[in-house]
Amino acid sequence: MDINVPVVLQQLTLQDIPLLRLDLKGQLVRSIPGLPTTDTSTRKLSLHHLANLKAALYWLQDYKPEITAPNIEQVRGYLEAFHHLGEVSAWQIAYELILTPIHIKQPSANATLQSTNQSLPLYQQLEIWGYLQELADLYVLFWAS
Amino acid sequence: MVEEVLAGDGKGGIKFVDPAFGRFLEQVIRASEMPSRVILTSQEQPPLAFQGRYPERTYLQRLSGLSETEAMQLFVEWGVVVAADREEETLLKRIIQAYEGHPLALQVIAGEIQSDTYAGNVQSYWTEFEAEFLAIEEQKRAEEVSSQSDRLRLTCYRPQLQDIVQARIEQVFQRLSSADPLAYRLLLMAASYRRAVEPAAWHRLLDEYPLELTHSAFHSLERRYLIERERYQNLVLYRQHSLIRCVALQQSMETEEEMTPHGY
Repeated sequence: MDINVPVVLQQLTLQDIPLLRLDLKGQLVRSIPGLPTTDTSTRKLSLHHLANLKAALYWLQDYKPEITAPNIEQVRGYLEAFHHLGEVSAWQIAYELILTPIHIKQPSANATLQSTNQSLPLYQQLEIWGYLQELADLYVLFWAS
Repeated sequence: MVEEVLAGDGKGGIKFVDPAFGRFLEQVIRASEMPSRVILTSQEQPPLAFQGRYPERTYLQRLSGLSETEAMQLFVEWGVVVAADREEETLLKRIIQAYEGHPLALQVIAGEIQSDTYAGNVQSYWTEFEAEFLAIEEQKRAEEVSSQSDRLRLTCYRPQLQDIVQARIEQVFQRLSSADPLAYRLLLMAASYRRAVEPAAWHRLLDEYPLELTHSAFHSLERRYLIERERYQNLVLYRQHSLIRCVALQQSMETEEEMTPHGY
């Protein structure tokens, strides 16, 4: 029986954090509470891992950009969370992040051409805005993994 | 930020992580025409063989440490008082000399002098580290004799200073880990942030602890000058000095997570 459950970051709670471990591929898993931690298919998090995990949670759950901040600051939380998840090799969650639909109200002279309800995945939105360096950083992290 | 593509060569020097960067930059500094207006900066001198011969394409600015007067003024600002005590003033000046006015080293020393252990007493701080300060002074004297003709050295840090400053920071870390384990834990964890962040982001790192302990750990780091404050628009953000972050990152990777919070 598999006693380790893959982690869904957005649903993590404070109580889950002590249960998190890394499997042999470096992916985050949640162990079942109460079971002895002699399981050799997973290892404990280092302080570095825990810090990156909490930093990712900060950027995803707590960070609130100013409404008037530039576009790149509106998605800063995703970019920083992506970096921290990369540091703990949580690639599946990181991958889901760059597919996050981004909904930005864009003032346009021609409202019929540019709908205010438009939303695109993060990576496409970065490309449209011209934040190519940020986009390249995302790809480099994947490539390095 | 050329440092991004530089790494130690294992023999005390530096090299490009990929030799292609070296070849590319060699061509850039030797090009007869350069319509590009890109400026590359680096705190390390990149290992390029020809840069001295093409002064119009490269520029080297050597940074010296703070003067004795400047450093003494900073100590006052940092709250270290040596009122009417000649002896303490002399000791402080010797510390400034030993660290060649290196602002970060002096800043963490100021933080330590004011910690509970020394309670602002320069004399007792000196007594504790006397052997170390004397060793640095001795090493400097030996080097001055062997390089008297090298005037350039007088205006810049000795290459060894980086190691001495790093050793000092590692010691500060070590003592913090026993004097205030939670502040030490916060220091290591916060190194994961790549940019200056609001206090809430620091507190999040210790969210399994009661808030008052988290606040006290944060203020302990602030009092010890281990974190830097900066303003961004109407926000106050905090980050670590790059050298402190480097040591903290290294130690956080070596520390296995303790699942049970200690200290309360």
